[in-house]
Amino acid sequence: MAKPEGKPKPKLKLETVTFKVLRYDPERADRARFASYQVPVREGMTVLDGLIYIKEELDGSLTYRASCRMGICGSCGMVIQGRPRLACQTQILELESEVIQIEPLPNYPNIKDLVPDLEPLFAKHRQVRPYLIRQDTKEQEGPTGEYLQSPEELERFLQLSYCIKCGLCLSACPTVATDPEFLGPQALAQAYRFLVDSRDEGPAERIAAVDTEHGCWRCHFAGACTEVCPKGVDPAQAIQLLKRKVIAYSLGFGRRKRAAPISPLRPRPGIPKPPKRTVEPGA
Amino acid sequence: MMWIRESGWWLGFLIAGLVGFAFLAIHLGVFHLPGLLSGRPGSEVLSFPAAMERARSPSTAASYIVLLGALLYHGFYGLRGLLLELFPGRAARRAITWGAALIGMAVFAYGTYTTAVAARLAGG
Amino acid sequence: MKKRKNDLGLWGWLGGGRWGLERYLYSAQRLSGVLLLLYLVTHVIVSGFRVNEPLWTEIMGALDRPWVHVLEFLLLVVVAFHGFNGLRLVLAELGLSLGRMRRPVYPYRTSLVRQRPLTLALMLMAVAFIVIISIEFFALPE
Repeated sequence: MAKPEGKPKPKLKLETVTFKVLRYDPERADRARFASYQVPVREGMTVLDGLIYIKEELDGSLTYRASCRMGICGSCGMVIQGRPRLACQTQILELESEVIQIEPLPNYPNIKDLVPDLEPLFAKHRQVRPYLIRQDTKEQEGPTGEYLQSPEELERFLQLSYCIKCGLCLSACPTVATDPEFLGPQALAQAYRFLVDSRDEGPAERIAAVDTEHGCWRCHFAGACTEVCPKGVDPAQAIQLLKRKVIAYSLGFGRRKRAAPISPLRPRPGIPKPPKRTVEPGA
Repeated sequence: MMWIRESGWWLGFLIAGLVGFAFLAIHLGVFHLPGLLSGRPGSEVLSFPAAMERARSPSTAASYIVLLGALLYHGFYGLRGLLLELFPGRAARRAITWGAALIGMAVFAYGTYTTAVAARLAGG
Repeated sequence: MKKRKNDLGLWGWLGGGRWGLERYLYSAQRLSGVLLLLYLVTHVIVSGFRVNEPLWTEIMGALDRPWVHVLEFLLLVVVAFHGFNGLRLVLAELGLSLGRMRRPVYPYRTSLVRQRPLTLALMLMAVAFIVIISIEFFALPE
């Protein structure tokens, strides 16, 4: 999330805040309904802290996902005051409102309360083959050395490797809102991440997955994905660079990708040798 | 469609947009602006003889056709993208793509035909 | 397991009020594109009538009104917006105005922010274009 430098401390002095949460119980009712809770607030409390308070003290049936509470696991994505955010990274007092409205992430099916079904996100991610593809599969399964990569080569995709698969970008994207077949900013950014990875040798399959009617061409640079990304991955930038790469590839450039060489592992003094292999590759 | 990948159609969309932008500027500057600036009343500038005067030269006809082709391709490709997003699904995909292509080509044919007829009428 | 469908649909295109500039430029570009396409098809059909003298004279007579003049001006405003915003999109979607990948350091200065000067420059050009044509449309003596 891009915030301006030096944001001033919140001016509102609040003791209690109302959490207006969209509740949905599939076993009780077909419609979702708002429920309000009064949450005592201290400076430094996050929305996740508030939800935990509600679950522990007020209503044990409130359901949400959370794990690391520090913005790295990507579990607690939800819509807070109209924007998709991570609950653990949103300070209650910085929202500067007496009523905080919380809803589950849109553009995914809603399982219960604040829990979205992120399977569409993962299915689309799988479609772009998010793993290194190399010709020498024997080397990948029984490695004898390491793939060499310079810091400059790493810098070309490091930004994209920070993706925590929280799913906020697909909630923000206007194309995903209407088109379920669109790959989405996360998958497209990861496709680009592997295309520019110097260790990867599989541009053909990835570009075939992305150069389709519902692939990267249905992105129109609305930029909402970049605005909500909590880790600064900037998927919008990645997708526009991906378009350039796909055009270049279709015009014939970049088809033969020279992969990173392998350097054999050098045994260093004092470090014991690895134990003998007990499981054969492919077992 | 079959022989050109989606990236080809999209690149054409970009180029058609740029070409259309350039030719539209020329079209406005050459055909509509002099009429506005000349001080003559609208009824005279838009009259049949004046229109024929403008339609005479073959370069006029050629520029009309390029402009029309570029803008129609750009417009219908954009509309097709918009409709594909609103109505996903295999059958809809084919219907939308072919529908946009056919309507676009029909309008282009009509525009080219009237341009040719007008040029002939004007004596060019 | 019964899951509730939670897609934003067309409302997702319109934005909902709390996004940055580029999201609204996207919606406006789409809307202006559809309007311009409708105008284009109409214009091709109507100006095709110039092959038929009486029909042409009749229609041009009917269209020689001040409110038509105003509509034509508004049309050029829409053309200016769509064209100059389109130039911004051509540069961005070819990856030319977004800068290179870099290590993300909080607070993140995203590519959107980095291309805002260009956006501003193009929008100013569009405004300049509109000012020029409004002088020609409304201020010059007939």
